[in-house]
Amino acid sequence: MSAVELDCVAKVYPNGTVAVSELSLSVDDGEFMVLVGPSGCGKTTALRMVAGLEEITSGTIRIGDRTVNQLAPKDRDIAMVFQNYALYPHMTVAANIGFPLQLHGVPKDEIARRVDEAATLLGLEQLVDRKPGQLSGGQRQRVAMGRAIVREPSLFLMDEPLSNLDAKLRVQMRAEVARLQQRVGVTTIYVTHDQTEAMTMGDRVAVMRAGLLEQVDTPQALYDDPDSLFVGAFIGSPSMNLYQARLDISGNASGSIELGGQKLGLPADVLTSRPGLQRYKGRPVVVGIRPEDLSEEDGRSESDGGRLKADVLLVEALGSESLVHFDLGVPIFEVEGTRSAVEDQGDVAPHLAGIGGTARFGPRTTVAVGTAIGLRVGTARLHFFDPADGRAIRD
Amino acid sequence: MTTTTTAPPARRFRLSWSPRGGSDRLRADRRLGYLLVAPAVVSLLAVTGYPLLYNLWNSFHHENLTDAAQAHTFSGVSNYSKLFSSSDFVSSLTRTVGFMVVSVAFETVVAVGLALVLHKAFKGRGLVRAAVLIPWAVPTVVSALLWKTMFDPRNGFVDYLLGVFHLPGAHTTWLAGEWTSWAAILVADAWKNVPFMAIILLAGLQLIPDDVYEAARIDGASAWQSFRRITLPLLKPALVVALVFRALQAFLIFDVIFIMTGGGPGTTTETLSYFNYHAFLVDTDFGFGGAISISLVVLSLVIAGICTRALRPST
Repeated sequence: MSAVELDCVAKVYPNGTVAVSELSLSVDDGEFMVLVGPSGCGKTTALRMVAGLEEITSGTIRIGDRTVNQLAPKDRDIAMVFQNYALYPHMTVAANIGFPLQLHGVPKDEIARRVDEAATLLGLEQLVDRKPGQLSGGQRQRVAMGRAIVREPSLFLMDEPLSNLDAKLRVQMRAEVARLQQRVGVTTIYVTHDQTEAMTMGDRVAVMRAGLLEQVDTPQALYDDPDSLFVGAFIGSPSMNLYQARLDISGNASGSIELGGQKLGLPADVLTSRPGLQRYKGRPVVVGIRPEDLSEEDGRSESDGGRLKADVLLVEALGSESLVHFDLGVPIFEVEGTRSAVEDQGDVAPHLAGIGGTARFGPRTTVAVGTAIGLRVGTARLHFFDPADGRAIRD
Repeated sequence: MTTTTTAPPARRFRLSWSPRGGSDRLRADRRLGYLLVAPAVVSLLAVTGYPLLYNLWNSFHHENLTDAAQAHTFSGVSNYSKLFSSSDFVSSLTRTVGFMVVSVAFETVVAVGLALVLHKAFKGRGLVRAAVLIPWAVPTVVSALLWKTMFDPRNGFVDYLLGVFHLPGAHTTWLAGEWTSWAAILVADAWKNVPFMAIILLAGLQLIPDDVYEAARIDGASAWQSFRRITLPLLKPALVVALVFRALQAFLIFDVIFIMTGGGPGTTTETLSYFNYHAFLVDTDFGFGGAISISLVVLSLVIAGICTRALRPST
């Protein structure tokens, strides 16, 4: 077990493409760190640099107390799980798991014992004599995990290890991998493009975009307090509703934002908790509303402030909740790079993306398509971003 | 509502209809299949099946042009007993097998090396890959003549090269000695056939996914270990194909020898095919030649069997 430290690590390919720029990230001993971002954001390159499969253009990588920049992969004391598992097709399950031990000159009976142990831990006892070609995707995935843990390395690297599994198996393996990591307690860096995987598995999550690190924090902190528009839009499913609006502040007490033709009142505490908003008086901001912060207007509580009118476009009843897609009459604010990533995950009806918004209602809602409804807005939990640089406006 | 009520009958209709339709289509497919392979089968029968049967018939009859009296009379197994007791047959078989083993082993090692080089990414790789194939595209007759000239003791390039670098072997009359002749034949044969093997092996190498090598690097494999434990076993299917092809080609070698040494000096480079040619076209003994031909076919089958069995992927 070791902590990992990336210090200003960069990767520039000979043709000038910058895959990763100035990445600084520290992973604590025993921590499960997830690198997440849309495809092409540099997360896999970053992982491969830690593995030693990709040369570092500049910067330093430390694993434990060693600087590993110049070390070959085999000398870094790491194990890696690949997206396509990379099992040795000509070897049995037992030989696959035992291969790294064999290469390290571990005695035969010791190999047999440890392979056995790993196979039992992963529920592969019945399959040890099979070849990878005779296994299902989930079983191959387990063998790849077995090959990784049998070494007892100081660091696990996982490159989208669940992306080739079907949806149901993915959810199951997600829990299994997280449980296994907790059990063996080895520091882990896990790469995924799936924000749900990132949120559910990581102790902390590092969100990357275009080779840059956007934000590193616990899943809940990323969700509650995104540093940037990109993180706000990328984390969460369905994703945050983002609109360009004009901020009006009357005096120093309360204010309002103008959303299309509608006015959304902002109580004084919204402004006092985000002093930075004062600088945007009379200027455009991007306002972000999580779908669960929009609730059904029931007509009883007439609070004039946090209320918006919208037309219902579609209601998706999911049993435990209903997702109400609506049109506010304001175009959704597009964040470069998130749209395709979010659509990739299949969480948003693509024909609706871009024109409306989503609210998370209770399962018993009677809202009907084509009607106009009132939406109560949890103004205390609104997010504000600078439309130019995309940074969150706080203080 | 109307669409949901009409949908099920439509599906039921299709379900009950499809098996019969399927078998109709299956039969039509099969007919088309036979039709499409027919030209190949007919031409194979004409150029392989007919000569084979004709030789088989010959091998059990007196068919010697110099002995017209006994022409077409049944001879029993006399051609075969003559063959198996012939010292020329035994010695040419020994030479052939020896050449096959040595040349195929040598060519395999060189071809694996060449394939590994061609597999690496470097500038101008496409051009090099194409260039490597040129010797294979040259007709054997041409390449054999070329090498005969190259090994010429007075004007040959080989002799010149050895002289320039003061290497042993300069001023050797290559094609006058038994072992030097074999060396020259081996080089000429390898020059032409290594590219072919290398391209087959290259195709095999390209089928091995990169991440398997990366996994091996992380698991702690050195370059040699990764070659021994990953590349070679995964290259086995391609190796089998290349080996079977080459072993049979080498076993039946004729043209290079015919042009470079004519089986000489003496009969020291006479292989089975050359022996066969001699029986047919010099001695005009078609009965005896037929017996040699049939033996060659059987031996070829045995070699192909051994190669595929020895290298069968262990799944």
